[in-house]
Amino acid sequence: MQTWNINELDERIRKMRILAEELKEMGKGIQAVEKNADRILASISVLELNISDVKPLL
Amino acid sequence: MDDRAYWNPILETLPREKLFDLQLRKFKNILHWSYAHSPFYRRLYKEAGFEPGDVRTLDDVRLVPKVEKSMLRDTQQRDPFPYGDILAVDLEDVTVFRQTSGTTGTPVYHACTWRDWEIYTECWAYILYAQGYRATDRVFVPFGYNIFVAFWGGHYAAEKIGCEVIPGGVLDTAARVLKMQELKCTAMMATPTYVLGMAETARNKLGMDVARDLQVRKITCAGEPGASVPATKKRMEEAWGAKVYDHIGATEWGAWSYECQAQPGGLHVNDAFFLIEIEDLETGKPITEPGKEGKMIITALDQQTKPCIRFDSKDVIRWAGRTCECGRTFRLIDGGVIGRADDITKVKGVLLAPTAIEEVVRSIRELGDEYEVAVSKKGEIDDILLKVEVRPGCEGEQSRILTRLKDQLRLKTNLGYRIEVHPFGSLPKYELKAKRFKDLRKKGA
Repeated sequence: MQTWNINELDERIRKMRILAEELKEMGKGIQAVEKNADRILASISVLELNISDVKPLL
Repeated sequence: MDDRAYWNPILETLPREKLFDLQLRKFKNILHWSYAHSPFYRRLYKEAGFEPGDVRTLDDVRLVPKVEKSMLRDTQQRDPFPYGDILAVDLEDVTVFRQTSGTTGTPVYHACTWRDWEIYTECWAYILYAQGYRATDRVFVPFGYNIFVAFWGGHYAAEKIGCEVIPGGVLDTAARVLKMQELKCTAMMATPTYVLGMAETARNKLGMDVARDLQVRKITCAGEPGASVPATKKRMEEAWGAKVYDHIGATEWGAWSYECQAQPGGLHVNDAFFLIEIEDLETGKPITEPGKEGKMIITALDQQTKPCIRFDSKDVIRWAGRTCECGRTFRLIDGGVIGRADDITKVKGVLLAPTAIEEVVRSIRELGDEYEVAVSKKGEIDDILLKVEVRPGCEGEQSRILTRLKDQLRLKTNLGYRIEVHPFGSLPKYELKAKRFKDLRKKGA
């Protein structure tokens, strides 16, 4: 079975969350930025459930 | 097993003890979230003298008060409209409205933020990927999409996997069959009743053999237990020349269980996103051993918008107690949903599950796909009436067929039945959830 660097995956996900939140904050007032950032953040939540939440158990 | 067989090989092969650790952590999180954000849950727990901090182990989960569907209907009378004060997010953050089918009463409205809807569809992606859906598939959904949640999750999940998805909404059955043929669809999602009905329509109205003339090679079923009833599954697989897989879900918490390509005679529980408990039907005590039927209590571990914590589903299931050759560590339940706690009833002192009747009827080739069962009282004695149809061309053998049917029913259910034969095609056909079992002894039935 293939192995993955879960720490690195988690780190990238964490950075993506920070970036998406910054993007949303910077674009405040531009609906096209705020709402699309919300969608990105929802997808990031799913990545967290798939990877980040499991990391402490591995 | 190749890693590519899994949607998420990390979660799906996580050792069981670690899955339990993950479940406990998530359970505590959703409990604290609901207590902090949902007036309904806060009220429920305060009235019971319970606090989220009381849960320290998975055994402690049983301390948490359960929720029933009637409570969801009641809370809908409160603000915010239309969900009630179970809602644990701001109303303006809700982006998805769905509702239950209304099979068991007034529909329950379900809300999702986009985050929760992403999770809802992610759970479906686990299902479809485990059943072999890939980016090369062209998936047809022969269903009138509407306010009921059915197949919306499957549609979005198939897109996420990369499949082409064809919404077969307002077309009639014959038009759907022809569209599937024209587009060379390779997969389909539908209720078992409709899967059988489509094959029959294709045969009778279009002169087509769907196994030969269509390219559908996998079918995902929902809404009814048929795909876990061996005789019904066999009928569908033979009619379509396709693998038929079951899955179980509900509007209020999503798709929590699924059959994998190994078809192990049971369904995997998605232990990473749901906590499933089984309780004895009479004593309410927890059932952890395999083979014993009980009522499912479910928690959706990540659902924040309208949390679902220890919901009494009334679905009757049993643990399988074996591993699956697919390599998933997600636990197996044997034979899918065996019935509803409301439907599994004592007749003449014997516990009767409607799926046992279906297994017998559908195992007799000369009988049609449709049937109906009504239990009533004749004086002090329970009476079971079973309505069936005999296929055209088999009428001459009716006496032999009915003798076999009665013998098999007696053998499999330990009960005697009155049988009525109806003209072929005259019993009701269902596109959504079939209601074939009626207990007329109950008030309002």
